[in-house]
Amino acid sequence: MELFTVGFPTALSFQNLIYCFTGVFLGTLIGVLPGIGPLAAISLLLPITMYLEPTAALVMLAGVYYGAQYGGSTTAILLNLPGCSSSAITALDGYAMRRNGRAGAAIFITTLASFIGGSIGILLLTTFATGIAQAARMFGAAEYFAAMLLALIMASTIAQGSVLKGYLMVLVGVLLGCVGLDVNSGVARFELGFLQLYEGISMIIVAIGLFGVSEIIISLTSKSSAPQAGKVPLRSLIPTRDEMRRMWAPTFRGTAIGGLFGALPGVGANVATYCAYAFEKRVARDKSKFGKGAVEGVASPEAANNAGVQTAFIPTLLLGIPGSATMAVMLGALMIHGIAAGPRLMTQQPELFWGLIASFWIGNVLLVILNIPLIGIWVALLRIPYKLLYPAILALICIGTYSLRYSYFDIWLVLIFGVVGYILRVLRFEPAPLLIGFVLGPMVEENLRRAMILAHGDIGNLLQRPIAGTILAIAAIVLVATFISQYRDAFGARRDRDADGDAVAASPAWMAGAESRAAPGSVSGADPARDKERDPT
Amino acid sequence: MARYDRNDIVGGLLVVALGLFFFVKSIDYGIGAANRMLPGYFPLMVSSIVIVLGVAVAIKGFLGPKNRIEIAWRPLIFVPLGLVAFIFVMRWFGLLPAIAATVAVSALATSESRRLSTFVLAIVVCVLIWLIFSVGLRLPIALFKGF
Repeated sequence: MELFTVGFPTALSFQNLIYCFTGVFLGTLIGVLPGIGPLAAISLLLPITMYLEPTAALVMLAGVYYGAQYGGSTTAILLNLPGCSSSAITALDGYAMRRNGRAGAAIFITTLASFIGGSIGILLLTTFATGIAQAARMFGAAEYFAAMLLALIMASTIAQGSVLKGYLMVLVGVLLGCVGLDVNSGVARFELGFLQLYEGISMIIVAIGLFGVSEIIISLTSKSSAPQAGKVPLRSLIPTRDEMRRMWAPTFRGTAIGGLFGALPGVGANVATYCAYAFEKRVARDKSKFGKGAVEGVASPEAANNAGVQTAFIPTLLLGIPGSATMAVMLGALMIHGIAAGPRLMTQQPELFWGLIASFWIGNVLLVILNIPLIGIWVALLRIPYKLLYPAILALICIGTYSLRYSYFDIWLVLIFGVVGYILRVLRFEPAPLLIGFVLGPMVEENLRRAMILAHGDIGNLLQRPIAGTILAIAAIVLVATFISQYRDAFGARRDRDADGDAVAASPAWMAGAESRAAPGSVSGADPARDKERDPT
Repeated sequence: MARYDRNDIVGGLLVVALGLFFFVKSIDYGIGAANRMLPGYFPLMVSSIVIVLGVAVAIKGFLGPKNRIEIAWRPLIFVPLGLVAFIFVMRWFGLLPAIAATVAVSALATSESRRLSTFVLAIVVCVLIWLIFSVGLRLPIALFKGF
């Protein structure tokens, strides 16, 4: 119940409320802009929060996250331009609803379902957080290593396209994480003679480069024949009675799925949205309406996404293992403020922990009050041509990066990661798993090293520990499953890849990554539009 | 080369090159043993897997299906050049000229930019950045220097 005794008072302090509001506002503002997803939005605003105290900074970032997510859903519905992979699912039926003239209702349902999902997710988090933190305290190096390995493997399956490439990206991230001084020996590794690399590469730099700069280049690649968003009058926001009736059950089902998947390390909310959509399609009596504007197809994934975001804080804050690239950025923000995530965070920094969780909820409330009336402004923003936006974004990237350490070297690094990120995307490699590997890499190494010292160098000793052994076994199963599904895909019919959303529902083995691979859209907002142009079918 | 997936071939080989770099460097740092890992142990392990998987992706590329690499050179050149412009103008002339330079150079990344709108945009962005970073966050960065 510390959520109410510590969390809400912290989050509701005037100062934090202002930051939460600012975050939500800026997040929505940036999230609505085409071509910028939540990940890029958070990376862009991360430098600004460096000047705030840790709680305020995280509260603001939480707001940014929510706002950007919401903004992403809005563009997904209005323009069929999902800002992130989770709203790619929303776009399936949300955009269809818009074509049916129900854009307002779709946005309203999105907001409401998100709110319900998020609220229940918080309740789940509060209920289980203390117990899980206690369990996590029994974790030794071996258990941490096992959990992180599992997270890395799961993170690879998030990637679209080939699982093999997902694994590669995670491992390349891990390698890049090795750059800098080795904590145990003090040897500088892979620093190429640059003194600036002794401290390692900053996670913010990687995120800004990979997601900020490369997304600009990608967005400029597609023809900027901006589709018209049209007007969304306030009255059209109100759903019909039938639409309201049909949204409740999917919302709660989505919440349950999201809450469950979000809590798993390395899985995150994205997978949850795919599953929620697939599940909804399976239980629906009339499957044909999916993809044609089904309320269920909007409510369930949105609820799942937000519930999953909440429970994703369990592995992120209590174990220090992020569930998604976005959570990795949040974790990085914590680290930059000198706060180590882990089971002790809750007892040592109760204001921060509970304040953050409470502010996620408040961010959600602010979204409802802020965005429903402001929908007209967001829609108007969609009309700004991209050619005027991207130079401004790039300028923001420059000053943001420079203000981190007043280092020109950092900007060069952003440039390199921007180009690398673009090339990766052109070659159909997903950069998001790279970031997770990058954040987890040093921790994996450290825990492996410690675990192996304790185990006298015998991997068998690791497997005999009950918790570590179990997690490693699960990791092995997932690993094998992904490769089997890959193999089956390569030789089986390519039915998974044809039409839009059908693929999502087609295969039940989510772990095999089949859904995430077949799912339309990608982390970058511009990709699906680009693919569509190239291939009109 | 017609039926190969060039994305996978090039991507796989690039990753292999990166893996090789880390692999060779790791050996220099010392490997040690599992219960006494030296700095090179972990990166050696990871880069070995990277090399193997990279080769696998490249081989898969040779098996097709056909895919061309499509690079948009114009944004790929001018967006990074915008960053370069920031670095050099910032060093000698201060923040606001640097912002204007970034906007001006990066605007060249698309053929749709017009001189007048870029000019206006540069001024608007300068004002915004000044408001956010100098007035709002009180960042100690020289707005102009060298004049």
